[in-house]
Amino acid sequence: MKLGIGARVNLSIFLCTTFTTILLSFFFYTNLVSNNNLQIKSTLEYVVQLVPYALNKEYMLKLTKDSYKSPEYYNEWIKISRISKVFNLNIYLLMRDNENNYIFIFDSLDSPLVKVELINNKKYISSENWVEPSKKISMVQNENEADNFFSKYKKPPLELDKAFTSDSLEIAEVYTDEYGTYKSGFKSLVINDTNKVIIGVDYEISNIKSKENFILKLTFFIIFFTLILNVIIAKYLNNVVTRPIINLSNHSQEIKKGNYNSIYNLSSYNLKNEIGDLYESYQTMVSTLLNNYQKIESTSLELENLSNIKDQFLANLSHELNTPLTIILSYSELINMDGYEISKIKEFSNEINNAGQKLNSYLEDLMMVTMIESKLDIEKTEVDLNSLINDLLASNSVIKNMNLNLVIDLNVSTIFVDRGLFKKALNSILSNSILYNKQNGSIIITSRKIDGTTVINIQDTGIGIPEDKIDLIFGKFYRVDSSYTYEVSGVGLGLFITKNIFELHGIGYSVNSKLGSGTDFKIII
Amino acid sequence: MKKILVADDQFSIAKALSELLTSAGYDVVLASDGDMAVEVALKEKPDLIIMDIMMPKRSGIDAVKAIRMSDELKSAYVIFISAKGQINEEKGALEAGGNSLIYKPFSPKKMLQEVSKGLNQEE
Repeated sequence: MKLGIGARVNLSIFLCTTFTTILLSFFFYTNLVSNNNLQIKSTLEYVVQLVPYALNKEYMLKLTKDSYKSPEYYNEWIKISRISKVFNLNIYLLMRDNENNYIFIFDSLDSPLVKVELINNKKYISSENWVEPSKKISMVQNENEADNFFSKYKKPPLELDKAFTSDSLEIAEVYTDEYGTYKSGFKSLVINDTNKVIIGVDYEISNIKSKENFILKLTFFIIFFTLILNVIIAKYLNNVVTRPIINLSNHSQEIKKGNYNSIYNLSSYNLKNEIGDLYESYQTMVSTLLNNYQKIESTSLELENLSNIKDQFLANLSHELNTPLTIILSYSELINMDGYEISKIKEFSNEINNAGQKLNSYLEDLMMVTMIESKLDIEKTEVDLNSLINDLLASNSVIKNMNLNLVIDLNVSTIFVDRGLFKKALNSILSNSILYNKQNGSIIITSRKIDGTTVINIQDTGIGIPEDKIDLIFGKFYRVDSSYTYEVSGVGLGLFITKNIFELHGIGYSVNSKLGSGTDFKIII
Repeated sequence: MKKILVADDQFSIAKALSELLTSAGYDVVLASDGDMAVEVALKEKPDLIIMDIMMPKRSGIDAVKAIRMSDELKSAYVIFISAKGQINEEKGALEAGGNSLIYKPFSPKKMLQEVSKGLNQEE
């Protein structure tokens, strides 16, 4: 399974925290145990040395198993009890009788509280009435019970026996009896022929256990808390980092596939952080990319068109140049052959001349295109439209051949243009009207003034132009018909030149045409 | 006298060929477009046809295809003339039943050679 960045961050945070927690807990635990062992030992040592100082030495020397009956007993018990409370230990005095019975004389926890009566400011302790010192021990009613109570200690640790014979502190291993689990220290207090008394100190191990439990609970709590925290962090990271990044990634994959139109609603996250900045710049990048892509696409389409048009032009040009060239070469060779009369030879040379003229006119057109593209200067003068049109029609032989019907109706005759250029422009339009016309067709040329502008219309009844190609006819080298069978020759520069001449003049123009029924060319000066 | 059909929409070229072939002793008929070429061919039954490929109304290739349908013209020698640079033209011309293809601009002498070669082959 592939983990996302959020999951990986979460997992590593979780693992780190858990590991650290467990390590710390282990450290604390071992520290606690070893510390406690040390602490217990030193506490035991300290308390064992402290107690004899606190106690009345004379009284201690006289201790018997019946000492609890004496009035001083209470004073000594109070001292031991206080020390016990301060150190949170059980302290007791033990003696051993001749039959090796252990007899508790004092016990900080369990020592009998004797009834104390204050008579004439002196304490009298009644040995007859025992009062419960703690909940653990029931009230001791008589001497026998008391003896019984003190001799309860049946299975003493070995160290206890040792303490009766040695002078040093004997520390027993942890042991459990009916009262609890303890670590104890024993040291002799009075050892003589009549009396053998030792001090016992019990450290309740359950204190350590509870600390251990606390550490264990804390460990689990920290792990659990980290887990919860992780879930929260995961949710947050997922919303703020992972999901936006996954979306970005998906979107960029789409873009990679070329699917530019797949617009994810990237702005919906509205993040005010670094990811938000990333989104913003990504969006800017995508829209720039999209723009550039569209630009490139349209440019390449344009280039492709241009290239097609160029190829067509070259094919046309080679064909159009070929014809006059063939004529020139053929007739010049015919002239060279023997047997032709002078009148024939004149005819041949005429053909050669015409072909040369045609080549020249193509050349002129090509020159004109170059000139137009380098913005030639125009010289506007008053030009008589009527004479201009007549000039153009007079030089055209095709009109007669096709038996075209000419209608010229000029309401406005004077226009302000560059005569040479305008004539050339008009010639292209007229030539098209004539060349693409039908046998016995007609051409109607009108001019009139509309709102201060002169509008010239040239209508023909020719083959027309397909609607989707009207814009193209003004392109360089464009010819609508490029099929094998074409009626009209030409290189396709005429209307391109016309358009440029009009644009240099600031003359408006438009073309209306219906395929098969003719074309209406409108010039607005 | 051998009869030759010259079909070319460029009158000057057709005329040049006509002059050339007439003075070489052939009988020449002219056509200025594809339709006319078919019409004239069927009527005149020429021994050899010189056909421009790019012509109005019907292309030279289509015209030759139509002419080849006639039993009498099945074996007529056909020389296509064309400007160079038209893709697949040569293949199309020969598939349509042309015997040879001469590119413009051509030399009249070469054309005469091709014509006599064609007429000899037919015999």
